[in-house]
Amino acid sequence: MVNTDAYLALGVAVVALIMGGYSLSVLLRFRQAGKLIQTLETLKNEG
Amino acid sequence: MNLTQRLHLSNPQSPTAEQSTMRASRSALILRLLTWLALGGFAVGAYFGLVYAGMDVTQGNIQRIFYFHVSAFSGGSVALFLAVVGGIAYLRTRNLMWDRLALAGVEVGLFLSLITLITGMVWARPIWNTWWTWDPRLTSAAIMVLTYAAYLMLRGAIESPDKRRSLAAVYGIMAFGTVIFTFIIIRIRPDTIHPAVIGASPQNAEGGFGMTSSMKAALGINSFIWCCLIAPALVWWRVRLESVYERANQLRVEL
Repeated sequence: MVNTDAYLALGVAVVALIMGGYSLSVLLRFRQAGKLIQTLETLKNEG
Repeated sequence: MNLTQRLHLSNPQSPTAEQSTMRASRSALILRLLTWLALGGFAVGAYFGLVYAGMDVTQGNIQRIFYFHVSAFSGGSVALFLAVVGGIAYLRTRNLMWDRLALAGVEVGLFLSLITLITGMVWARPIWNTWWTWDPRLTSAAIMVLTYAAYLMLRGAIESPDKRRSLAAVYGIMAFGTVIFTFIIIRIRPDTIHPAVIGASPQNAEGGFGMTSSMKAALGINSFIWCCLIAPALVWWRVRLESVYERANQLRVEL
């Protein structure tokens, strides 16, 4: 039997990278948009 | 008052501020619970796939990648089906909530399909001795991913919001044909070398394996987790993100 452990490690890393990367991108976009709303609301209240 | 509460209070469709706040708190609680279940489920699924399931004697440990590969396709299909539901409902009601669901479904489905595609390539390297071949199944999966990537490009290219939403809804519904095609192609084309994990493999399939009971359990558990926990949680978060974007746009217009 051929040793394919390294390929499994690569595959799991791909899964972790894509899942983690996408989740992080949603989180960062969420925070960025939240800050934008806060700024816009401050501007609205001041105006 | 947190962002969620402010968002719901600003929604003109909400009957009262109190009801909106209660609804927002409840939905935030359910989403938080779903997110923790999805995270825990991911870990449990990984344990079943990487530790519990028996090792394939011919392929070695790389066979275990199938638990992610197949489950990501199943979860992606659920997300892309939600995009169809969102598209149909938007065309019928013109309610923005459905458009958000359609967009979220496509984005999440696209990322999960990418996992399927890339883990398939990683498996193919030691088993087929190549990263990629223009096999009918691989080609249809690549077309599927490109079709949904084009959906996001289409949305970004149309300026009129109503036109964008309507066209995207129609596109999202029609694009689901590529998912069905990808699913059935190994069952209708005898020349594919891609094995069928569920059901009989095509006669030319290379790299197929007989599943033991522990393998079946690992696949079943992973598919359930990716379809019922991970994909819905990601879609829900993406829907909420779109709500926040819409609130920001609304404020920009008001200013």
